[in-house]
Amino acid sequence: MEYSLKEVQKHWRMFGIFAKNSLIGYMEYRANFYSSLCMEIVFLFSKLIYILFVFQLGIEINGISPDEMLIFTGTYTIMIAIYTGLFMDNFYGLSGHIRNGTLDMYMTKPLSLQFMISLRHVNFALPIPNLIAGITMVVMAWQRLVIEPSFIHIAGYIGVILSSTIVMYSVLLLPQILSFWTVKSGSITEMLDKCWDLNNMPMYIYPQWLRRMGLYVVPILFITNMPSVYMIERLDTLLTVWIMAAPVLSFVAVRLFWKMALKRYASASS
Amino acid sequence: MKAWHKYRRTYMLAFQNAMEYRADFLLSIISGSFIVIVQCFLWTAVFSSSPNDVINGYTYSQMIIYSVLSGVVSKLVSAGFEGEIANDIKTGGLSKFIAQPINYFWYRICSFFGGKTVQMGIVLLMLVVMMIIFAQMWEIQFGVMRTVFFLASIVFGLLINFLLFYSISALAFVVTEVWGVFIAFSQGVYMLSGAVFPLNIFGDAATGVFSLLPFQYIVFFPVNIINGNLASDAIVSGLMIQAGWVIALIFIAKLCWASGMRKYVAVGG
Repeated sequence: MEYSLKEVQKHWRMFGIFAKNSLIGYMEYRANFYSSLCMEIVFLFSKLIYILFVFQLGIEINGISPDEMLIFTGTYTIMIAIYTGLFMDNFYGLSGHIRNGTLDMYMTKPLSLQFMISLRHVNFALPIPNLIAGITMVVMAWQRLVIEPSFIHIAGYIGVILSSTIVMYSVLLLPQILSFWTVKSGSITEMLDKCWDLNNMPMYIYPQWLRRMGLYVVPILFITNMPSVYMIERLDTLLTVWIMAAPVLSFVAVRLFWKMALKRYASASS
Repeated sequence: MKAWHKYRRTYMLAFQNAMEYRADFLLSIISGSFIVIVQCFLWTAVFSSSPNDVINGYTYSQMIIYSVLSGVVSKLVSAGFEGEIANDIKTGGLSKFIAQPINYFWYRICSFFGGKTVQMGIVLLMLVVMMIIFAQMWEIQFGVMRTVFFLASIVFGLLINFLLFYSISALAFVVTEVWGVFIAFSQGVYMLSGAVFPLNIFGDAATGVFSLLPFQYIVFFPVNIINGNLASDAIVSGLMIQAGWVIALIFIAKLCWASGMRKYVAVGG
């Protein structure tokens, strides 16, 4: 146990160093930083069109009011910030490491290989506009819905966001691991990106079968919907249990799949 | 060798290349269908929750047809060559076009349309299938003339999109790392062209502003022709505006490239 705790501490410390290195990189290449920022702001606007439209319409859609929709869009934007900040660059880079054989170098390091590959780079540019817009929308919606901001409520919301982050890590890393078999992952990545678009709107606009599939089979809808569902107090017992079980199950699944894929790896370097 | 032979060869090469990667285009259509699915479910939910049968001038069937066709048309007219141009400028690949008797603009346009011919064939097949399905579902008549106007407007839309991206590519003469601007521009054009939502759902003021810009003639206008949302005189005047934008954008592109070329430094190549 002591050994494991030491390992966790070591990995935490290393993550801090990775983040610091990434920040230094951005300070060195500022044009890249501003370029990414500008790009992400335009993407953010394209997501905001949906909520703008809902407010203009001013009606409840499948029982969800515009203010409740704002909570969903805000949470979705926060989750995009977490994904682009912590995972996206690393996940997209995996097929390159396999193709070019750079995975060999990471294998020699005294750290978990999955940790090194999936958390090596931290993006500081892309999350900024999303985080600001997302938190603003959630707070605004919270005030408009007159929800009492108790400590329990805020802690619960953060807790569900953490649970969703683990599910997001697992669900979005899983298809990238297929690169061990396919080597190139262009179409996989594109499919995944577009699949993520299903979160543009709350899951309540989808039919029951799609909602169930997106929550329990391929939990892509879990990621952005669960924190919002908690916030608007629509959680039932099954969903409450699933919020705690899904991160564990999905993380175990991705870990096992990673180990299985690694056995297939034959170095591509000379 | 006659002057136009080299451009015909360029067109053929791009055509063959697109034939080779036709599965890739089909895959991109499939992945692009997710956003169409979201929109179809959204509109179904909106129309079932709303007391009105017509929202912002669209019936349910028109809105679904709009969502599906805008997804296909936006995929068809998309550019995607701006990165190659930036790379030519950055690494000196442009130098050979200066030294050799081939015009870069015509080279690019032939290459663009060569690739789009194959995609156009695939999309036309898909459109025929979709029109049959829609006609069966809602008893809509698409009509020969409307289809001809629709195809003409798509060609103009392709030209407008090509010229917009060709013009913005000249930024690579000034900025070395220009990829972020390209992606932002591409997403901006995607939104303003009406690929996400019909532009007139944002009210009269926004529609007035959009009508002054060329973007709505890339997706919004062609899809509204086939959707039956435009009268014959509006279609004809729209096509003329599209032609006007093509001429204006040719001048803008020439201007951007003339000022860019003055800054060009041949590196490598």
